[in-house]
Amino acid sequence: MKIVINPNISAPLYEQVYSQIVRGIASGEIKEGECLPSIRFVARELGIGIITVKTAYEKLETDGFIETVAGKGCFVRQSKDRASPAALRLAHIRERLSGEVAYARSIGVTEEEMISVIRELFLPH
Amino acid sequence: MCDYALEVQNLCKNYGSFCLKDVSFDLPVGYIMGFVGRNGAGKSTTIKSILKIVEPAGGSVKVFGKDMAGNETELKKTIAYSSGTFESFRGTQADKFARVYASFYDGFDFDRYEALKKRFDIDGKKKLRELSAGMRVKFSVALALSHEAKLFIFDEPTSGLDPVARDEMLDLFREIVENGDKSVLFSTHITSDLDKCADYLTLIDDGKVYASGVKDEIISSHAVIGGGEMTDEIKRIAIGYKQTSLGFTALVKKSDLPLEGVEYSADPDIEQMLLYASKRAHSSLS
Amino acid sequence: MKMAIKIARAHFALNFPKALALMFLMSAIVLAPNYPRIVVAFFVIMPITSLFGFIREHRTDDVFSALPVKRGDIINGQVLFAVCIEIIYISLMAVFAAVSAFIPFDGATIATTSVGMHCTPAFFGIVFFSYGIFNLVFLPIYFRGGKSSPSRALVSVIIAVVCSLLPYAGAEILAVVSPFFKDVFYSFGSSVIGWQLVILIMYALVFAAGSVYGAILAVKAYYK
Repeated sequence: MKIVINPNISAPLYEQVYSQIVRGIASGEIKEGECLPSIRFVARELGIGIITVKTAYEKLETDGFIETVAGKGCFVRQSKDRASPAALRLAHIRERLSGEVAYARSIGVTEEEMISVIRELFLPH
Repeated sequence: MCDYALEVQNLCKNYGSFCLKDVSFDLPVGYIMGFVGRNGAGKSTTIKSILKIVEPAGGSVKVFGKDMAGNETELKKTIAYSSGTFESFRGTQADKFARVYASFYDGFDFDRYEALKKRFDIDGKKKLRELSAGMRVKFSVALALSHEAKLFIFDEPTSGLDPVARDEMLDLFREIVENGDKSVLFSTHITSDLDKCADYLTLIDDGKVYASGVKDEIISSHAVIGGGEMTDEIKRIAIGYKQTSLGFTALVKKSDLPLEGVEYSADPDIEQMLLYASKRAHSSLS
Repeated sequence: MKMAIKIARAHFALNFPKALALMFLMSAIVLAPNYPRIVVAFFVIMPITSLFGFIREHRTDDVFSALPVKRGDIINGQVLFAVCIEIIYISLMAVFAAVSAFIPFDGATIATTSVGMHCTPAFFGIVFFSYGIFNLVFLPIYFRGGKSSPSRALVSVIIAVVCSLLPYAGAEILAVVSPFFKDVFYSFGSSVIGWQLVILIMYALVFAAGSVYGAILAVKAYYK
């Protein structure tokens, strides 16, 4: 399993960890039933905070990608148990958009304006 | 099993021209807390008050749930401390110092000490002043790890170190907490240290703590705002602000938004959190 | 007490600059003829003040304070260290004094040519007494304020030195007033040796008591 953190995009670090793992699960790189490395190990390897990784893992669990077995670790759930491809795709897009949304907010764009821009972009040319 | 390695409440200390006022923060077991503030903000005083190197005027300190006041010697057996880069005892040989140090702790593991020395590439026969600053801090970490300390308190362990040595030091901190049973508190004024490895943050300025908690939460609950015309409301509410003839920027809590006159807002980085805190009622060229 | 000994040993191992060791050789001035022995006894002030000055300047207390040792024990350890210095110094003086008895000078031996009191066992008793008073006075005052400021440290030394002159003054007065005491303090010989030893032992005990009580007061003073 590889996780690549890009410090330059404004997506929060935990979002990046989260969607990298989701991508790995979707592509089959991370197998079903596989045990993810411990939170602290990942934090150490990536050189980021433990809580950041913990937040990512917690989100993975809430979204149904992994389950935590006390004392043993975090295991990837079987595909029939976990999120649909739709959720995976959304997770992927979420990562790509969070940087843009943060930027938009910083220059004063409102939620409605943002949504209308996205609607425009969705219209077939 | 205790949740918190360190609980500090309302710590006060008077030094005449400077005082600590109600310093409070908690460090849960197994995490790294960065204690950050500019020079003279009160970091060293706080740490020395926690360890009773100086006597605090008020407040309480609990280590692993036990009050420091009544259990000082017992608790200090589980604490390891290093101040700056080891300025005392410069003429002493490293190994000799280690032997004296070891005589105060039961169960000092000399094999572990030797292994750590080798790993950090420290020559035990050298006098402490012959070791570089980074090596001296590593040496104090080696001592601490050899006597099974569970709480590590480092006072400015990275100042004076070049970026490479700093990075090695921070990686060492991450390694200390990797098992989840040891905790690290370190003070610094170099904010990039904290971006890399701190889970928790406590920000101090002029003897007062103005933010403490999970680093990511602190960042996301504050905002740097900017605009053309500064209002009195912003001046009153802001933690700190910078005003020039061209406009202003300020640090506020997100809960105070929205405010009049704000043209943009963004998440702060730790350096900005530090800079703005010392910019209360300061205005630069206007 | 065990902890205090550890601290004292730590001081010996770590805080012992070579300069301190050289100061012990000042005791050899006993070998100088026509030199007041009393003054030589006072040279012990130097290693002691430089010890405490060293501790203050190099902030070694910060390191010791973080160790699992009670503050009282740290102070007792320092006192113990100072006491050891005094005992070593007296012993060296005694050794050199004994040696001087065999060095001829102007017809007599050096031992009997000093100005003021000669180095009889009674003399060393007085020295012990004097050191005891010094400890008793210096330690509490020093730990009350002198720890942090050099000027207050100086004051504590001056006051203590003045107080520790009292036994000598007392002995000299006794020697003038009574020929018996003059013999005891000034001469050697089997007739007076018994008394001299009594004085020596008695005042060695006074030294111990003064130092211990000085330490207790010092710990109390520190916490004020």
